[in-house]
Amino acid sequence: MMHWLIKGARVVCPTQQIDAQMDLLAQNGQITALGHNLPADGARVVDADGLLLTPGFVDLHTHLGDPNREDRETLESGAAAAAKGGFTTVLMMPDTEPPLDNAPTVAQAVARGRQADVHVLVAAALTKGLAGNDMTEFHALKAAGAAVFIQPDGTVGNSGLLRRSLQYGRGVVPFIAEQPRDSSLIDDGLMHEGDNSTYLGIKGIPALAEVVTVSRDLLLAEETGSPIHLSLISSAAAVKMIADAKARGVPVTCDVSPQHLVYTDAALENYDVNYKLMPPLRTVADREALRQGVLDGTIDCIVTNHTPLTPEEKDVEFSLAPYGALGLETAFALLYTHWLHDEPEHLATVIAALSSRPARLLLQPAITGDLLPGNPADFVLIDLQRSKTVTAGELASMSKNSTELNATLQGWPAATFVAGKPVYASGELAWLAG
Amino acid sequence: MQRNLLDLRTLGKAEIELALNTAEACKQLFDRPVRKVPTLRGKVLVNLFYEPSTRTRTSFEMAGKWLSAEVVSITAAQSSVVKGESIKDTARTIQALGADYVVIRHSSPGVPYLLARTINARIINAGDGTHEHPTQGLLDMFTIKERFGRLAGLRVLIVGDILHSRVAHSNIWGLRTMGAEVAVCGPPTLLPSGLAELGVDVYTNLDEAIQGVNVINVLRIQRERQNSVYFPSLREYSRLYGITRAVLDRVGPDVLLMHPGPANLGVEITEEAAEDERSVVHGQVTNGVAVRMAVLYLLGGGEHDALVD
Repeated sequence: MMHWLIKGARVVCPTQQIDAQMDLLAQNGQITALGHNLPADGARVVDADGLLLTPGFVDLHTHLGDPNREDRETLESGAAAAAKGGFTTVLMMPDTEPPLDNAPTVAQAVARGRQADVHVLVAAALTKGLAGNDMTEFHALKAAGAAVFIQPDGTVGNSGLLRRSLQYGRGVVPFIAEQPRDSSLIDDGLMHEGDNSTYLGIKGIPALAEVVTVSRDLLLAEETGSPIHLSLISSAAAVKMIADAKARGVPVTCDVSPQHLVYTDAALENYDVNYKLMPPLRTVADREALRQGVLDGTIDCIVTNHTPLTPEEKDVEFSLAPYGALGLETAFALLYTHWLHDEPEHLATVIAALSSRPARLLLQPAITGDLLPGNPADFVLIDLQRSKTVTAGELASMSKNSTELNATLQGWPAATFVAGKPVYASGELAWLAG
Repeated sequence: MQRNLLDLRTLGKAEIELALNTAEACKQLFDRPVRKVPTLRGKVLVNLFYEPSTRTRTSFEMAGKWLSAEVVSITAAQSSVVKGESIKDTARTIQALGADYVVIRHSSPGVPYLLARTINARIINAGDGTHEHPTQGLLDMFTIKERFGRLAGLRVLIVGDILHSRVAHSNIWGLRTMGAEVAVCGPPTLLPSGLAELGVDVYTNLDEAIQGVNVINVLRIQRERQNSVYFPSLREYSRLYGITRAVLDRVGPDVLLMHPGPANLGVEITEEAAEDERSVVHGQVTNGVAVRMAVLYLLGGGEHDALVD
């Protein structure tokens, strides 16, 4: 196996509180040294002067079309998109066709995932058929390789079932997750309820639809003492409620998407279906609260909610278009361009929210999200100066439903290493991939 | 004027004024012995209606014909997804058939924007879901202006389901742009957020709302829109918000009563009120043709003066 000496990069490793120009030595798939003026010791030298070197990103919310919706995304195209975006680990959502709600399908997905260029972990369905009525076989799914149990695009409406799931699942997996939203408050809403929904004549989804369910979930987690993970928080009120719960020791964690940290409901101005997301993009005040939540740790991690959809199903009448957008390839560049470029002091925190913080939630020894010697050599080199316009043709995903389509963004991954192997490289480092 | 007429919210004062003045000139054509003018000869106007409509579609048909355009009306299946044919595909087909103007009505807000992004024909929004109905807004403003000689400074009350009414939305944006005072009144569940911030006076009590108004525009209560979810019953709605002759009498002899039609007589408006001399419910239809002629003419790049000559 090739050894690599990455020379002279600006190394940012939040868990070690490192932000300095250093060298990194990777041997036999592991990080073996991090320091100044390291000797090559038979390793191939990569001149990384001017590049940022961070832990590989870990995405806890990736939708793939594999199996049976390979027109949206295959395992291979999804992994390529991940590598291109600097993600070395993705947690695959169970909403495939059929859903990953039984041991054989989970085992098959886990086995398939091992063939990918990046680490593909599998989240199993929390309820049978993701229908929200019956618990799946937690122990069998765990034995088949499930990392966590999740209801990826919705709430377990039955509070009794969620309570029993938390009680029964405690200790089986690190956490049980759902996306908090009350469907009766969503009703036939399609975007955030506010001034812009009035302007656009689109029925609104009040922030309350999220907050009501967050409130219930926090009470259930508090009472059962069983960790719950709330996927895709979108409102200031929910952030505050979660912060209060954490302060009194409730075992809750949560995440947010890059889009919700950058855009608001004003992005829907021209009925661009790519901005039709669930939960919906909300107001400037919500966005600021979400950013603050990431910075103060109330929000544990940033997840892409990568949702590939074909043009035929996505680019239709606004009310008929399914929710979701791609995320893996552009997540970092989006955050850098619209947030970190102007507030560089938050770079290390955002990198932690993309790497070590999500990794920590998984409780898997091989997924660490940091650059500590002895750990797997999962890392990414990023060119913060590079500017690029996102085009449909250039995306690695099979689908093209990106919120960043035709936008020019700055701060792109230049090379991504998984277990010491370059899985993506571009520009001056393109030779790595060859 | 812009290429397309998609909404009134982003239309400027000068553009609305031009449209209203042009409509006045168009209306004068009605009194000529030969009404037809050759302005759009050789042009193709396609009415693409995904929702049933008689008066708006007919109004556009008449407007196109009096301008000598070739007019084709298509009533399409409700949902393209159900039908298995995408609306973009339909639009491209219509363009390939030579459409210069596409008048689109659809139940999903934003569809006119989707069409404007997809094809080059000029797009006119004839009602998109609960978003806007710009030509109805222009027609209402035209009718008010015809009666009072101005829009600025008038107080216009819109009564009913403001949340779901594209007519209400186009009226609110247009009237605010033209300097009229706008008040709305309806059950709290049918009033969208953010109106007060736009300078619209919001009422839930009809008696308070009618104080000092010049115009009352009554919206249709759409039984098919499951309004039971928003208020308990039509009877209760009618009792609280129905416009009767007694209500008109409380406002005064000069109030102008409007309704975009078709009215649910006995629900949001009584027949007695609709037939009252203060009502222009029927006069609005003729004005609709004039306004739509003006819009077609202006989107085609026509000069106001050329039409008058």
